[in-house]
Amino acid sequence: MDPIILLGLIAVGIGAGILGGIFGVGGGVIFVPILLLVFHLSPAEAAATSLIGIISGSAGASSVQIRSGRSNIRLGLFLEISTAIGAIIGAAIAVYLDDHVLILIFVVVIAAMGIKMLLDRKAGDRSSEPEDGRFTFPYEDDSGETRRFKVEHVKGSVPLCLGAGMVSSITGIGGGAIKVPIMNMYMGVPIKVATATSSYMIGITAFTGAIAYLVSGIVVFEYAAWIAIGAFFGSILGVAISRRLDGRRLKRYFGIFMLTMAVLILLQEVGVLD
Amino acid sequence: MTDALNTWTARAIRTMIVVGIAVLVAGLLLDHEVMMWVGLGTVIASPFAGLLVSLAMLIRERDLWWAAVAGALVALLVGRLLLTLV
Repeated sequence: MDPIILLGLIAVGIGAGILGGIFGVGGGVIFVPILLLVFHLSPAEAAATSLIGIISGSAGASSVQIRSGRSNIRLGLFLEISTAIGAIIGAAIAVYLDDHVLILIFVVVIAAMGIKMLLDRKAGDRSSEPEDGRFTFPYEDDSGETRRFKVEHVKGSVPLCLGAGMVSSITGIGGGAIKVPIMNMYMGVPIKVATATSSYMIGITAFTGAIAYLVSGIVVFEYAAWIAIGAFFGSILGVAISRRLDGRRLKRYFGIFMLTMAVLILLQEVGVLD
Repeated sequence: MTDALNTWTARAIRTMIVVGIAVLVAGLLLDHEVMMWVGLGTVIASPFAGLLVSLAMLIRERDLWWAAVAGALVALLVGRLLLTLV
């Protein structure tokens, strides 16, 4: 393989891994257009390589975040059920829907969420001590003190995650970008817990799709391997960076990231990036 | 802050991803396609391995409500995988 291509793949993996480690997103919105436009892979090859990069970044980040207790496994498992059902429904009804309309709706939703996150001053941390319950969990705040948070709107989160699973299954983008704001703004989960839990969830979401691609022989091994290696190390770097950010700043950066993503997807959709 | 569930789940994911990456690098250096396939397969399987270990730990801790949640998710993923592959 040409060393320039090799270095390019590692750099893309590292870049997406860093973003994934900081914001708890998969990075498909970065991987796919670059693999299509710069590395000239076919759409199926780009999607397969992207999924493998997402899993590698998720595994790298979540192995660190789970160990430190920042990623909440129980909450992730609960939300992942409705996301997985949504993904199955999305795959079944995808042929009947116009994905361009869905992508435009998605762009409006993430832009609105991004603006709300930019304007919201809270990091999702609650000042009062919540009562015990199945959905009350410990977490470490910015000062390193162990506190607890109670997940709000548990029932309401089910249809939202179902919708998030459907949209990301149909459009191929947006799992983490939708789930982090749902967790933080709607369910009252501290932003750092929300991003870390999302990191854990996106790997599970991508698992079945990646296995299917690997078995069907669509994966271009060398491309996927270098992307996976880059994403793994990038995600660990991203987690280290996120630890240095306080919750409010992380939330503000996430808002900026979502707005940037909305613009990039819109440009891609209208053909400016083709 | 961390309990056995977190410790063992993190350990499972990290072991799988590190082994997968090591096999991948070896496969790339030796230009060995089977090693690359195994490496990528191990990387891809790492979140699912973490999920299975979480399920086992929740059952072991007799945290049955959460074990049922994890079990349902495992069943869903396996079902979806079978639907995709068949």
